[in-house]
Amino acid sequence: MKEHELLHRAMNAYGLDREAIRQAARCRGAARLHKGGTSMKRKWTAAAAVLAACLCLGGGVYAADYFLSASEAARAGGSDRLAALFEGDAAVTINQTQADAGYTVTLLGLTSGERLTEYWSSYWTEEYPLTGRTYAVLAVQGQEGTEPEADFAYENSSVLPVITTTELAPWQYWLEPQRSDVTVDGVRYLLVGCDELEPFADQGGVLCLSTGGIGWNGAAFHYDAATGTVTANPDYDGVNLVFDLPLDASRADPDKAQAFIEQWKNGSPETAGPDPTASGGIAEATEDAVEAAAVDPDEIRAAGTLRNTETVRSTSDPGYSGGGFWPLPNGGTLALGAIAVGQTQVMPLLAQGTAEQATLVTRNADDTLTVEVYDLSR
Amino acid sequence: MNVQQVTPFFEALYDQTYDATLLYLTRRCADPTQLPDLLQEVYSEVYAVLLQKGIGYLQNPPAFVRHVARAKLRRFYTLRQRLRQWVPLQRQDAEGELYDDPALEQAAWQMPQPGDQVEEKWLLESIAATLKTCPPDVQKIFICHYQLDLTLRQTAEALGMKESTVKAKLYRTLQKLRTIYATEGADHEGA
Repeated sequence: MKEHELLHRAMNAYGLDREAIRQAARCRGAARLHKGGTSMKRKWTAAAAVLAACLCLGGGVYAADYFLSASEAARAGGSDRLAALFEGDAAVTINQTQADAGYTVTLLGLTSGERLTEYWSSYWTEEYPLTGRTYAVLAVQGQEGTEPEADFAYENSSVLPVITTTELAPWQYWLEPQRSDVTVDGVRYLLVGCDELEPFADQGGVLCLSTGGIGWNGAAFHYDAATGTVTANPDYDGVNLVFDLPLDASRADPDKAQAFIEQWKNGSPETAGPDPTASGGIAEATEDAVEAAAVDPDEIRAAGTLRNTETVRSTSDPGYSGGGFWPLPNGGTLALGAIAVGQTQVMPLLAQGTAEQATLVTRNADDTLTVEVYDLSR
Repeated sequence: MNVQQVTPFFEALYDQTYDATLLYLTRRCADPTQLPDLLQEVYSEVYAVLLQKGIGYLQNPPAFVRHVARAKLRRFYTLRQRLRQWVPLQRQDAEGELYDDPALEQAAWQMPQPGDQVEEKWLLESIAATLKTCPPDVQKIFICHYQLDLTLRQTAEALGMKESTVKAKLYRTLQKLRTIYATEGADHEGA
């Protein structure tokens, strides 16, 4: 780099960043108009004015200070009660920003409190009361003036709370996530809630945000069964971000947390058999899935006898919560978001008399799925 | 207030007047490290007025920007003097000529040498941090020459210095800055 260019760029670091000064001046200038005033309505209007002034021409990356606050976003979304939770003692202002795939996402805040909707809890047994909820607000903004609505629609994006635990993989439990979005001046605010995470506060939790599907996105995130942690796949084309949640460890409840985990392992009262650990029980099925995921597909190909190969196309069913999926020959399904292009997965082995059968699925570039079925001797 | 109308007008005015405003403030401020704040103050004031009064309110927008800059400078100096934060890094000799205090200059160069691998961001920040410890007139020279892209002659005229003085101060400072970024292999300008 030429010295003159180096020193020219150093003047930005000196503080004379022309663009940064421009943006700051716009935001401070807009804020000047609404100095003073204590009503919530005026504060919201002032915040919206600041936001409008900053985002008028789109583009650029803005400090979280110029977004609506979590409570303001909740109020803009029509929930004064949720806004009140974000103004309460349990609320935590986070303002953690990450950027990915053309978007800037800021986790504005976190809070917990009463169940504000009739949303069904995962803690369904009658002897325990319904649990409280944990709420968070994220702000999504396109970096080059891109409107976030298309990529962050309800049907093709996901904000999933994940507990840091080695006892269950993220796809093996359900925290009843809910989401309500509101867009204010080009910024899409995601108001998310889930069953309370506080009992797990000593273990930790994260929010996994991704585009390209709903629910657990196996192509976007990797779960490490040894540590219980989740990381984003750097090769994923869409947005995939992991936000650490600053849960208060002093509010953890290990007994309650373990009760949740046992309930998830054993299944609901309606679906659990008389002994969930018996053969064919749900607990064993989940263990099979985890075991299969650890097997190298080439080991299956080397040890087994290929029974048949077929290519299936994806389909969608409005009644299927996962959106698109591939129907499998054995009657099962595989969600579009569960496998990345070029990836091969080993499905849970099936017992077939004295032998076992292994199924390998590979997602092709044209979004078809190649299914290989192998016979394995027991 | 119509943000949709005002903001493009403000953007154009900013682009049109930024260099002149920076030069105006650079020439008159005592502490160049305050220039970013001053610039923000000036333009946020201009933007607020535009939002409140509309774009038709200003008959001569560039002149208004200069007016605001002048007012901000006056108020800023008063504040700074009240706070007694203005510490000149230069001394005056018997003839009234300013010279750099060698003791203060020496302290300014106590920068740790970076290792062989240094990120560009760290490098730029190191250069900027070092520059901020230089005497104000040196900082102003760098602002005029490297931020505003003025020639050395133009810089001398803008700051009311002799061209030889500008050259001497610039090149002496460059020698010291080069100890920071020499490992990056930046091509040096002729000394």
